[in-house]
Amino acid sequence: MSQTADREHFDMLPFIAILMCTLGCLLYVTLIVASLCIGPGAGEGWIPVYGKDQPRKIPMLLEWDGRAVTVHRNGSRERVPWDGLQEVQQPDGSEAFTSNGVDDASPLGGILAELDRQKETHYALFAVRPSGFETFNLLANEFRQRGIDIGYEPIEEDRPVRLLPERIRS
Amino acid sequence: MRRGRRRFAFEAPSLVPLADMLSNTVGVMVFIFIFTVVAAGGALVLKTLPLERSPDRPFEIVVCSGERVLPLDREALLSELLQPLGEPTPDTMGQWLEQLLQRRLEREDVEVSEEIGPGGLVFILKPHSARGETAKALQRPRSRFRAFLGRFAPKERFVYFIVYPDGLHAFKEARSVALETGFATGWMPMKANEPIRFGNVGLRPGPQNGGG
Repeated sequence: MSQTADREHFDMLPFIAILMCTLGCLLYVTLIVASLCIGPGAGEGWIPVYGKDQPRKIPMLLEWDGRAVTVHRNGSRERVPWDGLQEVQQPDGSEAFTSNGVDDASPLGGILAELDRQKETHYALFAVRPSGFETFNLLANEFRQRGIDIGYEPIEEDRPVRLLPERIRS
Repeated sequence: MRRGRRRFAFEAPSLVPLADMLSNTVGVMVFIFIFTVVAAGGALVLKTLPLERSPDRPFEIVVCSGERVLPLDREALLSELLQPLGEPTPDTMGQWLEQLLQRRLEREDVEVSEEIGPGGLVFILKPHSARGETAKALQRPRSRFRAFLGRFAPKERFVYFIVYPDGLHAFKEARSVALETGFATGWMPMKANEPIRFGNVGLRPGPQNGGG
């Protein structure tokens, strides 16, 4: 009698187990990828927001990593090295950087000239990487000396950044 | 009438519906996976853009280092440093300056010293690492940082953050708190372990519109 019952029973359990395992694996992979994308791999989108008493200038996004400026223009990025930095020894033995200025004929000189021409309507917005902390003020001074407005914001070393369309704060 | 005994013959069910179910589930999960990747890949942190402006009020220094936030009461530190020397007169100025340059103030969170730089007297602050509050602690209503901000009127001071490479996250949290409280803020990037210098030269404090 029991042998007959065994024969008539078709066990679904292995199949359901396979289904559940597949579901679990896919869910796990999805969660891992999602958390990576939202967490460390996420980019930053910066939106210009203008307050009532804030001049409405158009930002030109420049990333600074201590060696080169990455210029964001018209949806593309151009990496422009700055060779005007010089490392000098301080009286106390430590080393520090000084600026030899920006060569007008260099690509960075071209960007400075462009911003200089548009300084009534544009400003330089820097995304400063930790590797560029030490020398950022030297670079910023090149812009300040030409009367170009600047703004700056720190950003993690490898986090992508981009500008988004502006919003107006009421 | 004799009825024959009914016999049940086992028939294996078709696996096609089960295979359908499995492939449908996998398909839906793959679709969710692709959607998640596409949506999460474009996840953005919205930010009000900063724009530097000239300072129109005094500043208070807050150091962000080692993912901690350390407010420095500059006036109290300088007062403690200078008080034992008394007021200098034109006759005693040389001696007063000599005594000042020998003075060191050692606190549990900061060390203060002085030097004569190209632009005159410079005060040097060396914050000790691993001092101050974590970003999480800033959210507490009775945090040290909030208590520090509470001592000043937002219209009379602005908060100037000295940010070291290992203090980014703490800085962003602290700046949010300061902006919520109504303070204008500015920040300055600083090389790791570099002391803070202020006086006639060194620190160039300036607030920024926006940020955060």
